Amino acid sequence: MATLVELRNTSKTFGTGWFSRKTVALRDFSMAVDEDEPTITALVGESGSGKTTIARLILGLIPPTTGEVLYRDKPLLELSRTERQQFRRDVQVIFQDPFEVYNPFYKVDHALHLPVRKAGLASSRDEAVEVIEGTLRQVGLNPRDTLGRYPHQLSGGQRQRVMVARALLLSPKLIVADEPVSMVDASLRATILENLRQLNTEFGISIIYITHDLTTAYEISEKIVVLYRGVIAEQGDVVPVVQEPEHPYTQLLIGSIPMPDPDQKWQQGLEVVAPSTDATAETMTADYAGCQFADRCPHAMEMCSESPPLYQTASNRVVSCHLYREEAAA
Amino acid sequence: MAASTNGPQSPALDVKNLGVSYFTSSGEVKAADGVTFSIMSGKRMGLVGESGSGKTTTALALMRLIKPPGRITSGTAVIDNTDLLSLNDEEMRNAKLSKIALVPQGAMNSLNPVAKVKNQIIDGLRDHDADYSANQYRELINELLTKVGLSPQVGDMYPHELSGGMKQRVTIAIAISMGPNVIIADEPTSALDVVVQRQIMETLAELQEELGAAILLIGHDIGLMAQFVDTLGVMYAGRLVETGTLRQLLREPKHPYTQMLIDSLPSLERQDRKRGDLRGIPGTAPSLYALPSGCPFHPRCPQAMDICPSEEPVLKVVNDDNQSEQLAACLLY
Ligand SMILES: Nc1ncnc2c1ncn2[C@@H]1O[C@H](COP(=O)(O)OP(=O)(O)OP(=O)(O)O)[C@@H](O)[C@H]1O
Ligand SMILES: Nc1ncnc2c1ncn2[C@@H]1O[C@H](COP(=O)(O)OP(=O)(O)OP(=O)(O)O)[C@@H](O)[C@H]1O
Ligand SMILES: [Mg+2]
Ligand SMILES: [Mg+2]
Repeated sequence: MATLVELRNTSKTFGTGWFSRKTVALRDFSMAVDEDEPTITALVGESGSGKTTIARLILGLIPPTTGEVLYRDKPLLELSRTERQQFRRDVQVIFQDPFEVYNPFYKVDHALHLPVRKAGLASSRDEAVEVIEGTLRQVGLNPRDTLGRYPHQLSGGQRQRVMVARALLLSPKLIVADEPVSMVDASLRATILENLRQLNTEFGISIIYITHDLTTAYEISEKIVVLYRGVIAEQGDVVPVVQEPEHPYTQLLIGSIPMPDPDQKWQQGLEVVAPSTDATAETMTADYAGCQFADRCPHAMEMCSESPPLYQTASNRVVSCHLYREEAAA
Repeated sequence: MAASTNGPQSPALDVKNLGVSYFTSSGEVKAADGVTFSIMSGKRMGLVGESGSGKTTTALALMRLIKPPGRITSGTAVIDNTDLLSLNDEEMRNAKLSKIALVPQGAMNSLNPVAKVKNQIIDGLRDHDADYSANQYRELINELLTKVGLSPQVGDMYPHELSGGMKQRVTIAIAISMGPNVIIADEPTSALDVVVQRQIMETLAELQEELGAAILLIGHDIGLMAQFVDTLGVMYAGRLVETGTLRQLLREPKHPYTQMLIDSLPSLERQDRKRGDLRGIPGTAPSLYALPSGCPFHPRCPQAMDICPSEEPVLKVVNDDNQSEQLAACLLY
């Protein structure tokens, strides 16, 4: 088994200024992407749970505070020049916020021609245009409505799809897609997710699909990691996790999914525990050692002041909750 | 019973024949064309539709925020007997926040990163030459933050110190600061997880009831719409192609586009769908530079007829139960 990219026991702490509080954005997180068996893995969690931090670690955009990031079993920092170039082609990203990624002074064409040129995907300008237009159509965009425009002249969803097209251009081995469809309608979302899945099944590209939307995660991924404030709450094959969630947080998430049915209103009586009013929750500091969900959890017990390990509850499944300590031991 | 213009039955917002075009080097883009709808006081309307169909454009036009090369080309938008579209700049500045307020798309990211939350709230109020003392400002800000479920300390924080959900609450605090009659929320929760989303929508609903305001909620999430709105409008290629009550549109959508949109909802949300059975609408959205003739949906429509390429459909009553009309712009009817 060859591992393409691996995060090994990585943690990331932000805020090293004298006055700013340190935030542990990610705690002791491990995950590996296998090269021979391309899969779609969903990373799901609320805002601030560490999803984008994981993406940036995998892409080598930030170093881990502790732990290692490996490409083909070699730490990123030790890669040779050619290995690094290979890494940059193999691992592509679709960023979360299409407003931020584009340079507002360049037309969107720039963002598409650059990778084509860098990777030598076309031998002439005409050929480049052909490749680009084809890819735009693949993601449901009309080239005429897209090319020659500045980013602010496109709608939110159009910008997002240009980013998807850009990642498709390079035929990488792994695409990290950070909220690629958060701003498009249901039918387009279906089309783009279908595109991503085709990349996986037809071209053997692995995909890390980052989202706060459990529904789409359920649709296209095989595995799922549910994150909560920088730790794994629950992880396993997507069908059992979504159909029979074990962690109280996953249960809360699934109970809050709004159903498109006038007779199925938000489950009443579901305890929507008030959000902690602060972003970087108290619990996300280095000295907090308890369960991250304890302050919102309807089942919180005394032992939750100690952070639960990942209990294995089935062959492919772990959950970080003391409720499962006996089941796992048995 | 005839609705009087000032009675409880009068619409809080009445939009007629709104047209907005962007005049670009490659031609005119009619991003909103003949958009007509109204929302009653205390009611909530949802606006859904394909990406690029003109939802944000409609919202910006109602706020008079369309910038060149864009221009409002036609229409009226009446709140409280005042047509927003014919106000001069000064009058419009006064109407903003007090008559109509917008939580813009991507609002969380539009907060000024180098200004404290309280100053961003004050900025909105200043536009109204509100003559408040420092103490009055402080009290008002504390009250607004508490209303949206934030602690008053948040006023002294910077946006990067807040979570997405908290930032979104700040943008709502700004929107309600002057007690508007109409609140437009453009995808207010599309970047948030379902738990936070639900909390925010519940907060928004409470505030709306308190204010007696009407809400126009723009978004893609039909599930969220089903939880929140009373009526729904569907846009396609700059036009409103169907409107009606939530139940009418979800249970008996008449326009083929609406039918396919509802059919593309993912499986966790419906019993009749297998996992991974993704159904997008085939074909791409039409180019607004070269709209198909006749009905703009006809090239992608499974029920298209011979006349569809030649005749342009207008909104017609297709269902009239309990006096709540369902309208669709489709030649099938
Ligand atoms: N550069 C930074 N400096 C300080 N704190 C940071 C930085 N980047 C991220 N954080 C903090 O780390 C935590 C995790 O952030 P991250 O961006 O990974 O969350 P996310 O799961 O992607 O959230 P979202 O869904 O909102 O995108 C948050 O508390 C965030 O405030
Ligand atoms: N400044 C501009 N110049 C030219 N065209 C524009 C401009 N702003 C928007 N458009 C075009 O107008 C159309 C409508 O855009 P709008 O932002 O209203 O769509 P939307 O329905 O809000 O889409 P989304 O769901 O993706 O946010 C799009 O085709 C867009 O490309
Ligand atoms: Mg993120
Ligand atoms: Mg929009």
